[in-house]
Amino acid sequence: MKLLKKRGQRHEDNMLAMIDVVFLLLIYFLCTAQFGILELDFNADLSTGMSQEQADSEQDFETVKIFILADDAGFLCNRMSYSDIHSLRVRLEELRSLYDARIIIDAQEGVIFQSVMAVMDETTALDFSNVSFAGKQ
Amino acid sequence: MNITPRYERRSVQVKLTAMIDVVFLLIIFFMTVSQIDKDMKEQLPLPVAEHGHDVLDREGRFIINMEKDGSIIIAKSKRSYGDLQTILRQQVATRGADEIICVLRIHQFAAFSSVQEVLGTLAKSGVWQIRFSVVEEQV
Repeated sequence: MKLLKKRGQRHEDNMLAMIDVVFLLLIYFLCTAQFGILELDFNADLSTGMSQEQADSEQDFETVKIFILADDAGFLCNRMSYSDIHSLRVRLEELRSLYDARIIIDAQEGVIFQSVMAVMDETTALDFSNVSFAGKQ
Repeated sequence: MNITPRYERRSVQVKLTAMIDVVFLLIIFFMTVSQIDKDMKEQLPLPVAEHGHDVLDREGRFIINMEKDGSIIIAKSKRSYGDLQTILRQQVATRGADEIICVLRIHQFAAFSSVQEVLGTLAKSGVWQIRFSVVEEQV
Protein backbone atom coordinates (compact mmCIF):
# COMPACT_ATOMS: atom_id res chain seq x y z
CA MET A 1 0.00 0.00 0.00
CA LYS A 2 1.41 3.29 -1.08
CA LEU A 3 0.44 6.19 1.17
CA LEU A 4 3.09 8.74 0.39
CA LYS A 5 2.84 10.89 -2.66
CA LYS A 6 5.58 10.90 -5.15
CA ARG A 7 7.97 13.78 -4.79
CA GLY A 8 6.88 16.76 -6.84
CA GLN A 9 3.36 15.52 -7.37
CA ARG A 10 0.87 18.34 -6.65
CA HIS A 11 -2.50 17.73 -5.21
CA GLU A 12 -5.05 19.71 -7.28
CA ASP A 13 -8.72 19.98 -6.40
CA ASN A 14 -11.12 19.68 -9.25
CA MET A 15 -12.29 23.28 -9.18
CA LEU A 16 -14.40 23.00 -12.32
CA ALA A 17 -16.86 20.69 -10.62
CA MET A 18 -17.12 23.05 -7.65
CA ILE A 19 -17.73 26.08 -9.87
CA ASP A 20 -20.42 24.10 -11.67
CA VAL A 21 -22.12 23.43 -8.36
CA VAL A 22 -21.87 27.10 -7.34
CA PHE A 23 -23.42 28.26 -10.59
CA LEU A 24 -26.16 25.67 -10.35
CA LEU A 25 -26.96 26.93 -6.85
CA LEU A 26 -26.94 30.50 -8.11
CA ILE A 27 -29.35 29.62 -10.93
CA TYR A 28 -31.55 27.69 -8.51
CA PHE A 29 -31.82 30.66 -6.11
CA LEU A 30 -32.47 33.07 -8.97
CA CYS A 31 -35.25 30.86 -10.33
CA THR A 32 -36.93 30.25 -6.98
CA ALA A 33 -36.73 33.90 -5.87
CA GLN A 34 -40.09 35.64 -6.15
CA PHE A 35 -39.43 38.74 -8.13
CA GLY A 36 -41.67 41.44 -6.79
CA ILE A 37 -43.76 43.74 -8.91
CA LEU A 38 -42.28 47.19 -9.12
CA GLU A 39 -44.08 49.36 -6.60
CA LEU A 40 -44.28 53.09 -7.00
CA ASP A 41 -44.88 55.82 -4.47
CA PHE A 42 -47.74 58.27 -4.48
CA ASN A 43 -47.22 61.32 -2.27
CA ALA A 44 -50.04 62.08 0.11
CA ASP A 45 -48.40 64.24 2.75
CA LEU A 46 -50.72 65.46 5.47
CA SER A 47 -51.07 69.17 6.04
CA THR A 48 -50.09 68.84 9.73
CA GLY A 49 -46.48 69.32 8.68
CA MET A 50 -47.11 72.72 7.12
CA SER A 51 -45.47 75.85 8.35
CA GLN A 52 -47.61 78.89 9.16
CA GLU A 53 -46.39 80.51 5.93
CA GLN A 54 -47.58 77.54 3.88
CA ALA A 55 -50.89 77.48 5.74
CA ASP A 56 -51.41 81.17 4.97
CA SER A 57 -50.65 80.70 1.29
CA GLU A 58 -53.17 77.82 1.21
CA GLN A 59 -55.97 80.25 1.87
CA ASP A 60 -55.31 81.84 -1.51
CA PHE A 61 -56.36 78.65 -3.30
CA GLU A 62 -59.83 78.11 -4.68
CA THR A 63 -61.28 74.96 -3.11
CA VAL A 64 -62.70 72.17 -5.26
CA LYS A 65 -64.47 69.38 -3.44
CA ILE A 66 -64.69 66.02 -5.18
CA PHE A 67 -67.11 63.55 -3.67
CA ILE A 68 -66.95 59.96 -4.88
CA LEU A 69 -70.24 58.09 -4.89
CA ALA A 70 -70.45 54.41 -3.98
CA ASP A 71 -71.30 51.58 -6.43
CA ASP A 72 -69.65 53.38 -9.39
CA ALA A 73 -72.45 55.95 -9.35
CA GLY A 74 -70.07 58.70 -10.41
CA PHE A 75 -68.67 61.82 -8.81
CA LEU A 76 -69.74 65.18 -7.48
CA CYS A 77 -67.39 68.03 -8.17
CA ASN A 78 -68.50 71.20 -6.36
CA ARG A 79 -71.98 69.64 -6.30
CA MET A 80 -72.09 69.10 -10.07
CA SER A 81 -72.60 65.47 -11.03
CA TYR A 82 -70.25 63.53 -13.31
CA SER A 83 -71.05 60.01 -14.40
CA ASP A 84 -67.52 58.70 -14.88
CA ILE A 85 -63.86 59.52 -14.36
CA HIS A 86 -63.44 60.80 -17.94
CA SER A 87 -66.09 63.48 -17.60
CA LEU A 88 -64.62 64.45 -14.22
CA ARG A 89 -61.22 64.71 -15.85
CA VAL A 90 -62.59 67.09 -18.50
CA ARG A 91 -64.02 69.29 -15.74
CA LEU A 92 -60.74 69.22 -13.81
CA GLU A 93 -58.83 70.14 -16.99
CA GLU A 94 -61.10 73.19 -17.38
CA LEU A 95 -60.49 74.19 -13.77
CA ARG A 96 -56.75 73.66 -14.06
CA SER A 97 -56.58 75.94 -17.08
CA LEU A 98 -58.07 78.68 -14.87
CA TYR A 99 -56.21 78.20 -11.58
CA ASP A 100 -54.36 75.79 -9.31
CA ALA A 101 -57.20 74.78 -7.03
CA ARG A 102 -57.06 73.16 -3.65
CA ILE A 103 -58.61 69.72 -4.14
CA ILE A 104 -60.36 67.95 -1.29
CA ILE A 105 -61.32 64.35 -1.95
CA ASP A 106 -64.10 62.74 0.01
CA ALA A 107 -66.07 59.55 -0.53
CA GLN A 108 -69.38 57.98 0.37
CA GLU A 109 -69.39 55.03 2.78
CA GLY A 110 -68.49 51.86 0.88
CA VAL A 111 -66.22 53.46 -1.73
CA ILE A 112 -63.11 51.38 -2.35
CA PHE A 113 -59.60 52.78 -2.19
CA GLN A 114 -58.96 52.14 -5.91
CA SER A 115 -61.68 54.69 -6.82
CA VAL A 116 -60.01 57.31 -4.64
CA MET A 117 -56.60 56.57 -6.16
CA ALA A 118 -58.11 56.96 -9.65
CA VAL A 119 -59.23 60.51 -8.77
CA MET A 120 -55.89 61.26 -7.12
CA ASP A 121 -54.11 59.98 -10.22
CA GLU A 122 -56.07 62.40 -12.39
CA THR A 123 -55.31 65.38 -10.14
CA THR A 124 -51.62 64.46 -10.17
CA ALA A 125 -51.67 64.16 -13.95
CA LEU A 126 -53.13 67.67 -14.16
CA ASP A 127 -50.46 68.93 -11.77
CA PHE A 128 -52.68 70.22 -9.00
CA SER A 129 -50.26 71.05 -6.22
CA ASN A 130 -52.62 70.84 -3.28
CA VAL A 131 -54.62 67.64 -2.92
CA SER A 132 -55.94 66.42 0.42
CA PHE A 133 -58.52 64.07 1.89
CA ALA A 134 -61.54 64.98 3.92
CA GLY A 135 -61.29 63.72 7.49
CA LYS A 136 -63.58 60.97 8.74
CA GLN A 137 -66.63 62.34 10.49
CA MET B 1 22.15 41.83 -30.74
CA ASN B 2 19.33 40.10 -29.02
CA ILE B 3 16.55 42.67 -28.51
CA THR B 4 13.70 40.36 -27.78
CA PRO B 5 12.90 40.52 -24.08
CA ARG B 6 13.22 37.44 -22.10
CA TYR B 7 9.90 36.39 -20.79
CA GLU B 8 9.75 34.06 -18.00
CA ARG B 9 7.02 31.53 -18.48
CA ARG B 10 4.88 31.65 -15.43
CA SER B 11 1.54 30.00 -15.00
CA VAL B 12 -1.08 32.33 -13.58
CA GLN B 13 -3.28 30.67 -11.05
CA VAL B 14 -6.49 32.29 -9.96
CA LYS B 15 -7.44 31.50 -6.42
CA LEU B 16 -10.88 30.11 -7.04
CA THR B 17 -11.55 29.11 -3.48
CA ALA B 18 -11.59 32.76 -2.38
CA MET B 19 -13.84 33.67 -5.30
CA ILE B 20 -16.31 30.94 -4.45
CA ASP B 21 -16.33 32.10 -0.83
CA VAL B 22 -17.24 35.61 -1.98
CA VAL B 23 -19.97 34.30 -4.29
CA PHE B 24 -21.52 32.31 -1.43
CA LEU B 25 -21.40 35.30 0.87
CA LEU B 26 -23.11 37.43 -1.77
CA ILE B 27 -25.83 34.81 -2.22
CA ILE B 28 -26.43 34.67 1.54
CA PHE B 29 -26.45 38.49 1.76
CA PHE B 30 -29.02 38.96 -1.02
CA MET B 31 -31.23 36.19 0.27
CA THR B 32 -31.26 37.66 3.77
CA VAL B 33 -31.95 41.18 2.53
CA SER B 34 -34.80 40.05 0.28
CA GLN B 35 -36.30 38.07 3.17
CA ILE B 36 -36.29 41.14 5.44
CA ASP B 37 -38.05 43.13 2.71
CA LYS B 38 -40.65 40.37 2.31
CA ASP B 39 -41.31 40.35 6.06
CA MET B 40 -42.37 43.98 5.98
CA LYS B 41 -44.55 43.70 2.89
CA GLU B 42 -47.72 41.65 2.66
CA GLN B 43 -48.86 40.16 -0.61
CA LEU B 44 -51.55 42.65 -1.56
CA PRO B 45 -53.16 43.70 -4.83
CA LEU B 46 -52.22 47.36 -4.73
CA PRO B 47 -54.22 50.10 -6.43
CA VAL B 48 -53.32 51.00 -9.98
CA ALA B 49 -52.13 54.52 -10.75
CA GLU B 50 -50.25 55.78 -13.78
CA HIS B 51 -48.62 58.78 -12.16
CA GLY B 52 -46.81 57.26 -9.22
CA HIS B 53 -43.11 57.96 -8.96
CA ASP B 54 -40.09 55.81 -8.21
CA VAL B 55 -39.23 55.22 -4.58
CA LEU B 56 -36.78 58.01 -3.80
CA ASP B 57 -36.44 57.91 -0.04
CA ARG B 58 -35.54 54.40 1.06
CA GLU B 59 -34.51 55.27 4.59
CA GLY B 60 -36.86 55.96 7.45
CA ARG B 61 -39.77 54.17 5.79
CA PHE B 62 -42.35 52.73 8.14
CA ILE B 63 -44.57 50.26 6.28
CA ILE B 64 -48.22 49.76 7.16
CA ASN B 65 -50.17 47.10 5.26
CA MET B 66 -53.95 47.13 5.07
CA GLU B 67 -56.01 44.11 4.06
CA LYS B 68 -59.32 44.24 2.20
CA ASP B 69 -61.29 44.06 5.48
CA GLY B 70 -59.42 47.07 6.87
CA SER B 71 -57.17 45.12 9.24
CA ILE B 72 -53.70 46.53 9.75
CA ILE B 73 -50.56 44.42 9.48
CA ILE B 74 -47.15 45.69 10.55
CA ALA B 75 -44.15 43.36 10.14
CA LYS B 76 -46.40 40.30 9.77
CA SER B 77 -48.41 41.07 12.94
CA LYS B 78 -52.03 42.16 12.99
CA ARG B 79 -52.47 45.40 14.92
CA SER B 80 -55.39 47.40 16.19
CA TYR B 81 -55.72 51.15 15.58
CA GLY B 82 -54.78 51.69 19.23
CA ASP B 83 -51.60 49.62 18.76
CA LEU B 84 -50.82 51.58 15.61
CA GLN B 85 -51.06 54.87 17.45
CA THR B 86 -48.81 53.58 20.26
CA ILE B 87 -46.20 52.30 17.78
CA LEU B 88 -46.27 55.54 15.80
CA ARG B 89 -45.91 57.67 18.94
CA GLN B 90 -42.91 55.58 19.99
CA GLN B 91 -41.38 56.03 16.53
CA VAL B 92 -41.98 59.78 16.63
CA ALA B 93 -40.45 60.00 20.12
CA THR B 94 -37.29 58.14 19.11
CA ARG B 95 -36.75 59.35 15.56
CA GLY B 96 -38.69 62.58 15.27
CA ALA B 97 -41.74 63.13 13.07
CA ASP B 98 -39.77 64.68 10.23
CA GLU B 99 -37.63 61.54 9.87
CA ILE B 100 -40.55 59.15 9.43
CA ILE B 101 -42.02 58.40 6.05
CA CYS B 102 -45.12 56.28 6.43
CA VAL B 103 -45.75 53.94 3.51
CA LEU B 104 -49.34 52.76 3.24
CA ARG B 105 -49.69 49.54 1.28
CA ILE B 106 -53.44 49.27 0.95
CA HIS B 107 -55.52 46.58 -0.72
CA GLN B 108 -57.16 48.14 -3.75
CA PHE B 109 -60.61 46.99 -2.60
CA ALA B 110 -60.25 48.18 1.00
CA ALA B 111 -62.90 50.65 2.08
CA PHE B 112 -61.76 54.26 1.93
CA SER B 113 -63.33 54.85 5.34
CA SER B 114 -60.68 52.50 6.83
CA VAL B 115 -57.96 54.47 5.05
CA GLN B 116 -59.38 57.68 6.49
CA GLU B 117 -59.20 56.14 9.94
CA VAL B 118 -55.51 55.29 9.45
CA LEU B 119 -54.81 58.78 8.10
CA GLY B 120 -56.51 60.21 11.18
CA THR B 121 -54.33 58.03 13.44
CA LEU B 122 -51.21 59.17 11.57
CA ALA B 123 -52.20 62.80 11.96
CA LYS B 124 -52.87 62.33 15.69
CA SER B 125 -49.44 60.72 16.11
CA GLY B 126 -47.74 63.61 14.36
CA VAL B 127 -46.66 61.64 11.28
CA TRP B 128 -47.22 63.74 8.19
CA GLN B 129 -45.05 62.28 5.42
CA ILE B 130 -47.29 59.72 3.74
CA ARG B 131 -46.76 57.60 0.64
CA PHE B 132 -49.31 55.27 -0.93
CA SER B 133 -47.83 52.25 -2.68
CA VAL B 134 -49.26 51.77 -6.14
CA VAL B 135 -48.54 49.71 -9.23
CA GLU B 136 -48.54 50.92 -12.80
CA GLU B 137 -50.44 48.00 -14.24
CA GLN B 138 -52.83 45.44 -12.91
CA VAL B 139 -51.05 42.11 -12.56
